[in-house]
Amino acid sequence: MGGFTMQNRRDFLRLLGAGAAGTLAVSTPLSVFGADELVKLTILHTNDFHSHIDPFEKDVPRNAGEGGMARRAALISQVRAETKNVLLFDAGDIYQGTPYFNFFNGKFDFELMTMMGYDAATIGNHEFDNGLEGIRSQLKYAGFPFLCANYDFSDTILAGMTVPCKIFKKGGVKVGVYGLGVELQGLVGEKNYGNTHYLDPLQTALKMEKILLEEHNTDLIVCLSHLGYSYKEEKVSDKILAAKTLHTDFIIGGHTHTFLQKPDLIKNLSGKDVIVNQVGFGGLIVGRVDFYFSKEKRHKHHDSSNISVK
Amino acid sequence: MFLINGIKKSSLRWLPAITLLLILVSAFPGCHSLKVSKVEFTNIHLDSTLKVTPDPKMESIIAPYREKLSKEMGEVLCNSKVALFGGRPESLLTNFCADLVRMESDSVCLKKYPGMHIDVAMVNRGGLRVPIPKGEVKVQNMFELMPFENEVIFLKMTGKEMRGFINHMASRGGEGVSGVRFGIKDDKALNPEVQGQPLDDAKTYWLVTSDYIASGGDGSEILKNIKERILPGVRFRDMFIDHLRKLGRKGIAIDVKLDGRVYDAK
Repeated sequence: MGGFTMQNRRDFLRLLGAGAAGTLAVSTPLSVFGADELVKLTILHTNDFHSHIDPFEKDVPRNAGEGGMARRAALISQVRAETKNVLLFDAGDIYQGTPYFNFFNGKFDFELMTMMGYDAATIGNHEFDNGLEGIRSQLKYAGFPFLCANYDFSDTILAGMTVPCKIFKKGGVKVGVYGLGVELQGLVGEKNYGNTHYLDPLQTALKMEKILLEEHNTDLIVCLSHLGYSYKEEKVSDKILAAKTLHTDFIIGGHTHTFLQKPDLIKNLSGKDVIVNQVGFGGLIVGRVDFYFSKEKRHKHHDSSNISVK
Repeated sequence: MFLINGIKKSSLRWLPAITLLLILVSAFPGCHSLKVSKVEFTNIHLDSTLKVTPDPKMESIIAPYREKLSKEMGEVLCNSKVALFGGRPESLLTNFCADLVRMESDSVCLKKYPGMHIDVAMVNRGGLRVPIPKGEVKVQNMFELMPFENEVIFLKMTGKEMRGFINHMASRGGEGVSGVRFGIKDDKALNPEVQGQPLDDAKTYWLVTSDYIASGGDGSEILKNIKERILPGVRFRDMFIDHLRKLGRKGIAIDVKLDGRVYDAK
């Protein structure tokens, strides 16, 4: 968890480094938000990319010719050109699925994602396919942080290379983002995850969202989750996470390769709607959610107003 | 990572400034909390209806990598007379792959571990991701079939342990096996045979499988406690590519039929 406070300090440093930043930080919302003015924040997201750098082959039974990194890059640039405040996230399983991964070990995927301007990603189970060393050796090619709140890597070679969460500021809006991974035991060979300690995802989420809201006064809390959308058996999924948390607003899911036609709205413990989205796999779809913020105060503990997904 | 470097050292120096900032922030409690008033969404499909031209810069970066790959991937290894699909309790794909692994592992033994023979091979169904096509079989097909970097592992098991493992495979509705034959009734193995003989609890057998399965993957907990294990340092996929290339050079096409090695016992 040490990474969190350091990250936080970094944000302070960045503000202070800008000179007279203390005043700036406080006055930003006032100057950015005129009376009745809305600020738009666009979150773009992908999951389970699985090294699909090229579009799907022409002769495959489904999704032939679809996807592809160069088209995704163009789409993202297009969105950035038309709207100012954009955040771009990935919910894990970047590795594995085409020979690009087998030959280039993740380096190429990370470099292209960096070019696209990804802001953060979380680690999926397939990131462990070449063991912890397979993650450690490639992370230097990613110009964006990996957010992992419930994989405790402190006893591994990945110690200090990921952070549990990060705060992003866009157009006066403060977005807190944390990452959650799926249980590795039984899913990933033991030698591949070594001494990674798995922390309970729900307890971790409750802790993260509390810190992000109460200590950092974030306006929006996002979870990058590789837990999976839902299960028949008793296993923590995005749906359960949404229902059993208090402050998380938006869960960007992965792992189960679920193609949601539109995001789900699930009532959380305080009766507030949580958005859950997941966009299949292979870079076939880019999820886009636009949030419009008004100046009105967000009630920290019991904001029972419902979001309407239009 | 780069996010953290350099911040640790200097953090204390900033303490007074951080405190001042916190005071400023808390003096305007309502100002920094915004409320979401509206949400819109679009899950954008990158299909043929989307009017987006591939980013030329990214395309030019990908092109040389793609060329290198397609050269390696395009090598034709051999031909297959049939398409091999996976399934249970047995299938052309699982039978073919498990036979291949047992055969190739035995020749590894011949070279590296004289006197040792592999009795049983297990290739998990879930590890074989796509069918092997009819016609030309290329390196590309092998990467798609087994994208994982799994290695071959040999395990020395007692007959009793082997019985437990066969029961486990039966409970999963069958797996890719070679060197064994068994029925499945009520999720348990019926009349298991190894190398044509009834399984003997008192004997010892060598099993070849992947390091993933040997470490308890896909629920094979039972294998985790097997102490005597040999890692010959061979990747599963490389074993497949070598085998098929040999077939191709000899002009032999893949041709397999089901033989009832795993069957549903009524």
